[in-house]
Amino acid sequence: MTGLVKGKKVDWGGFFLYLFLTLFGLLMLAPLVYMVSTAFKPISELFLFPPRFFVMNPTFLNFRDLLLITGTTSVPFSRFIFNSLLISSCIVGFGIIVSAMAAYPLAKHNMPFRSAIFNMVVLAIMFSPLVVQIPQYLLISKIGLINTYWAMILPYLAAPVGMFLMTQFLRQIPDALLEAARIDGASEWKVFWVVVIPMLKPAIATFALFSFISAWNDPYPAMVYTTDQDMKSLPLAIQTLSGGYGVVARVGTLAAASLLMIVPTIIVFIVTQRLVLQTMAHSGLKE
Amino acid sequence: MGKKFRLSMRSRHILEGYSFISIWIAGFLMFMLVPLSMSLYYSLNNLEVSKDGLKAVYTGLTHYRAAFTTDIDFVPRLQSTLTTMLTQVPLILIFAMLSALLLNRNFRGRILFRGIFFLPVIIASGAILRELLEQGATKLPIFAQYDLFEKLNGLIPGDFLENLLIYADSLTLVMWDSGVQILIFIAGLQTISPALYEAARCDGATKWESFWKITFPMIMPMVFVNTLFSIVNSFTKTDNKIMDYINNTAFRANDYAYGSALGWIYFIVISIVLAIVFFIFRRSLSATEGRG
Repeated sequence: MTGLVKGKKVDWGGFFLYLFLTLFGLLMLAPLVYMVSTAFKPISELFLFPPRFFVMNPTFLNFRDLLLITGTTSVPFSRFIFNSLLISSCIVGFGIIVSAMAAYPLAKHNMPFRSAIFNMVVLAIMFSPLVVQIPQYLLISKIGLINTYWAMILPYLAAPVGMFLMTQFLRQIPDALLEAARIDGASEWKVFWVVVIPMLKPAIATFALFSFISAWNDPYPAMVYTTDQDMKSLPLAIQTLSGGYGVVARVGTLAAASLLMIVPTIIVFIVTQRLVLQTMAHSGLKE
Repeated sequence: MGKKFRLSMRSRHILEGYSFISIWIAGFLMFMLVPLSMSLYYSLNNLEVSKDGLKAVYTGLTHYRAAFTTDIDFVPRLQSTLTTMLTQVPLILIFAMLSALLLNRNFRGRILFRGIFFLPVIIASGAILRELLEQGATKLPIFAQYDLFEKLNGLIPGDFLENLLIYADSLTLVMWDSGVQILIFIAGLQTISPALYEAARCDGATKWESFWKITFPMIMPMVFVNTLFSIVNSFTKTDNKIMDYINNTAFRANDYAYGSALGWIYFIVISIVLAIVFFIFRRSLSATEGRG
């Protein structure tokens, strides 16, 4: 990086650098700001024409409405939060183990059909998920998993993306490291837990972040696989709260709920952020 | 029985490999491959609801033919999806490359800015926010509609400002989609050894020259990965017109057989596009490998 460091003159380059970054950064932050400000808008401001970007008289009414509305249904709101947390953390936790276990031999074992399996994974990433939904549903109902947490967790464990990411990352790790452990008498299982998993940490963090975001935000599994009110997940509950498409009456409440929704993802991002940026920095994307 | 202990090193190695991967394979077969082949089978049949579940009647390629002949919605939507992809992907790539070059430099607050540039990936993937914004208009009405216009009107002439804000809106869309690409580019930039730049500088190369002669060829693999990623991303986004159409056909209209036929056509189109990309990049990629 030393090749890029500027001289000691008036640093116009640095000035423009900050100018550009701040400008783009503001554009990036705009949706978040818009959402926060909508969540605090009183009714009178929500339907102003022309609409306003910033809130004039912030209020907590929307948050109170959220609690009141959800308080009237038979299932307490906390149940949805619990469901979502449980499902998302199971998908992330088990998904990491399954993907890492699959990525290890794909990257480091010289076995037949290896590249065939890998190509299949890449193909699977391209296929639109909608098309497999009905066969998946039929399958789940045949096994009798409807209305269980398993139905919302199992189909998402064998994630092609996670495996792709980890395989690429693992390919960079020198074989000598694994050999050394084997020569010291470690079994494959032990090599996996003691050498591979710690080395994979940045890739795991990245995958954890992505899969948490998608699992947390996805209303479809709860919509398709459950009929019970108390098995619903948070995004679905919020969707029903908004009354489906075209209902405008609860925009403020919806904004408040959405704001609450992104809080966990932001927390996960803050926790994994350093490792994620690291993965990308040394990642196995260099083929 | 005793044979198992006499396995050669190599077959033991293979066996261990397979036992590690088996869980994933089982899940993949059950929840991806089997449903996929089932949908291929359905797309060649007519589904009828009967007492004992769905009944399939073989119809051959009727659905595929219908998509291009009788269906007036499908082809225009496919075209508009392709045009969106063609206009957006280059913009995303250019923007991501520019941001990565800036973010890769040594300056204060670098981590903060990187975080901000990645933030839209977190928020924009939320279905909720999208719904919220959809209620305003079909596109994101952040800049074009709001009071920002009035505030800035004093500074910048109105006609110009309006276009500028509309443009900013579409740019925002592009920027939202480029979080991951930026990270991949940063990753690529960091694998380039500083010694190369130093050598170029000693030989009297300008910054401009060293970008085109060193940086650009060196991150060619990342450009390739990013192109693939952006294309796949823009094709499989849930707010994409075709995806929406397939979803409606399959679930609202309950015409599942036709829906899966559309899905397969779409899949084939995506594969063709990706094949073209592979073909274009093949030469530059092999050139980089020779250099590297």
